Parts: sequence; C-alpha cells; structure tokens
Amino acid sequence: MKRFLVAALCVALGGCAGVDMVNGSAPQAPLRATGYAPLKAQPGASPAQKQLMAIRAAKTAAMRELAEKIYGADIWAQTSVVRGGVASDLNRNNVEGLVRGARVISLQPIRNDVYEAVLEVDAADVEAMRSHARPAFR
Amino acid sequence: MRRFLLCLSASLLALSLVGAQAAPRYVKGEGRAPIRGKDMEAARKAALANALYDAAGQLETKVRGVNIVDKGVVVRDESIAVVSGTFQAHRVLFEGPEGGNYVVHIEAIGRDEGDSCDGKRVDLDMRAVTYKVAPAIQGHVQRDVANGVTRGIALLNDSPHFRVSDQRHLRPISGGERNNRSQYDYMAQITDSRPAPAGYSLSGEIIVERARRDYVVAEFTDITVTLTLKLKDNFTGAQIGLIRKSSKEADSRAPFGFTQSFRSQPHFDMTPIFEGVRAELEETLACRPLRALVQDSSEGRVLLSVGLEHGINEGDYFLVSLSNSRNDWQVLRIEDASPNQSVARPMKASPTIPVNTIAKLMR
Repeated sequence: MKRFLVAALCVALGGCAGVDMVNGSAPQAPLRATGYAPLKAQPGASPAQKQLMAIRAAKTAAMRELAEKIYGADIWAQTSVVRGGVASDLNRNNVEGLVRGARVISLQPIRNDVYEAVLEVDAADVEAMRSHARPAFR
Repeated sequence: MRRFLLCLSASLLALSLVGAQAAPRYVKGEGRAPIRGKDMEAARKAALANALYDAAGQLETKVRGVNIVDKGVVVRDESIAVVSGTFQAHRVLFEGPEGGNYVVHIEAIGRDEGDSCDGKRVDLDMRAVTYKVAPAIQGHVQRDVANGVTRGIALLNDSPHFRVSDQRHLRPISGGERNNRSQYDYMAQITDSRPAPAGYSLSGEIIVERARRDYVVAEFTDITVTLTLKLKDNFTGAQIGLIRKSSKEADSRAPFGFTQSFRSQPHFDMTPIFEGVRAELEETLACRPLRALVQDSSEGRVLLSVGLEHGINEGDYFLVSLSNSRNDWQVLRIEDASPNQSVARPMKASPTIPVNTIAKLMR
C-alpha cells in the first residue's frame, strides 16, 4: 500500500513537472498568437462577405494557436520504412482547449488576398487557464 | 508515512476542487456586415450579432484543431471554435455605415466563469464571540481560551486572502448594516475605530466543557473547546458558511477527586482550532470577487473603500450595477490607491454613482 501511494504520488508530481516543462515557467508578458486566412478560400456571394469570412477564419486560426501555446499540442506520428524506403509518413497534430479573455490586437490585410489576426491573452488569465482547465486529451 | 501520504493526496485533490466564483469581465466587441441593396436594417442586425459574437469570444472560446500531414503534404487542416458567453449588460457605442459595410461597436459586461483567485484580500471582521463555560472549569483554562482567541485572530491575519480586524465589541451582523451609519458613527466615537464597511464577518460562540475520556468510573477526563463561527456577508446579512472546530486536551483532574497527573495546571492551546478555521476560510473566501463601498462621489471622481492593502493597484477596474435595469451600470478605473482607499474615475459620462453603492472588482 505504502509503495503504491509513493508510486502514485511520484507519477502525479512527475506529471505536473512535465506539464510545466511543456508550458514553460509563469509568463509575465501577455501571450500573443497570429492567424492567417486567404481571401480566395472563403465562401460568400460578394467581396465584402468574403472579406468578413476571411477575418473570421484568421481569428479562429489565431485562437487555435493561442490554445496550442496555453495547453500544448498532442502529436501522433507514424513512419514506416519498407526495404529502406519510406512507405508511409503520417503526422497528426491535435489541439484542444478553452480560451478565456482573448482580445484582438490587430486585424488587417497583409497582402491583397490574405488577412492577418493578432490575438492576446493576459499572463494572469493564461496561468488561471493552465491551472484549472486541462484539455480533454491530457 | 501512509497517513501522511493519504493526507497529502487528499489535500492536493481538495486544492484542485476548490470552488471558483465568477467575476465580471468588461469586454468590447466590433461587428461588421455587408449592406445588400438598401437593406440597412438587416445589415445592422447582422453587424450587432457579429459584435456580440466578438465580445462573447473574449469571454470563452472552446477551440479544437486537427492537422494531418501525409508524406510532407497537408491532407487535413481543420479548426473549430465554439463561442459561448453570458452578458449581464451591453451597450452600443457606435453604429453606422462604413464603406459597403454596416459597423457596430459595443461594450459589455460578461459573466466570466473563470475563478478570480487573483491575490486580492477581502475584509473580514471578527465580531462578537460569546463564551459558555461549564461549571468547575479552572479559571486559568478560561484565560487560556480567551488569550487563544486573540492570538488566533493574529493567526488569521497572516492569510494572503483576507484582512481581519478585531471588532469583538460589535454585535453580530444582522443584515443591511451598511446603511446603519448611525451605529457606526456611535461606535467610532466610543472605540475610536470604524468597522470595515466592505466584506464579511465572523461571529459565534465558544463552549468550554469537560468530558470523560471513557466510561470507566475513575479515569482521565478531557477539557474540550468547541468554536462555532458563522461567516456572514456584511452587505446582505446572509450566512455563507458555518465553521465548527473542536479540540481537547487532557485534564489533570479526574472524577471523584482522583489526581491522575503530576501536571497541576493543564493549559489549553487554541492554535490548532484557528489553523483549521483559517484553512476553511481561505477555501471559502479566496476566490470571491473583491467588493468595495463607494464612500464619496463628486466631480467625476469616486472614492472606494479598498486600497493597496486589499491588493488594489492603479489600472484595476470595478463594476457598479445601479438598479435592476440591464444597462444601468458604470465601470470605474482606479487612478490612485492609498493603503485603505482608492480614487477611481467613471469610464462613462452617465449614470452618476451615489454614495454607499457596492462596486465589484472586474477581471
């Protein structure tokens, strides 16, 4: 029983240490993320509607990057080599998380056909999210 | 060792499950919608919906993303963002056509379900504590208990989450006391101190009694001290917690006059009881949003009853809800803070804030 408890505690504390290594130490500066979206790929009947959709897509991409920076990413990769040659090479990157307090810093077209969105979260909010809301895949 | 590990595991679990209190968050949102034909009204509705979506996204957005690369080529790249949020109130700041779009700017007070354990200290009054002492308890035990309460208040004051003031000369909170200024003024004259106007209060009783340790006729007895405290909200008078802690120590005397110990004067240590009280209070109060009382309001400046000692700094925001109306609210920004008070500036021209209103710290 004692050994089990010691082992369980080590695993629990080790898990915490791992998370800290992934997330890094407590950030003092706000956390920023950037997302891009091409205008051409957007649905919409008019250019104005495509533009709005591009803004929405760029913000979603930036939000995803924020989630990745806050909670980390779950990577699964598989490479198979047959007779010295790569037969398959698959890499999957999963991100999941709850983002609170993200605000838009800038939102602008960087070229004629690409929109850029920059989002920011306060350091205190990042700490609160990391300590209270673990993503499902962890 | 096993007991220690069990306690440690239970403490870690308890810490992770501590209940969080929602604190309001001030957000701004912008929405745009293309104007089709001359249908301005439809464009306005769409732009307002987009502005609310934008503001709600700042409260809470669930994000899920998948990216699959096969032999160096992206075969799937998907991001899903689900926005959810509840607004206590919102107000349109600007609206109008801009180019081919209709634009709406809003400000809103959102209910943020995240915790607010952010290093602020709430005020806590220690109000009347009555003693009930069983007959034949030695006088020095009673003195130990009384002194232990004074030391216990000092122990509570070490907490980073609340600031305790010894107001045992005042009767327990009964509700709506913030309006009862005459009593405060009267007590201020007599005691040269004014009770903290914001926060919570503790009041209750201490029972000191002797209990037999078992049912053997001639056996040791224990002195048992039970402290029961009611935790109340100073503004509403509502009871938000009941803390009961007990401790016992061996008495030197036994029934029928037997003397079982060489210790002629048993002493009673109240420290374990107050350590338990402090832990329970921290669990209850740590994540409650800090509130302040508006003490003065004139010429665009508002004086609040919290300051540096409560963890308030320049640039913090407070929300004042004035009535049941959804849009009758004001946001205050702290411009200067002294140890126990701070000066704030309203962010909107109206409404004006009356004295004695409650302001709540925002995230």
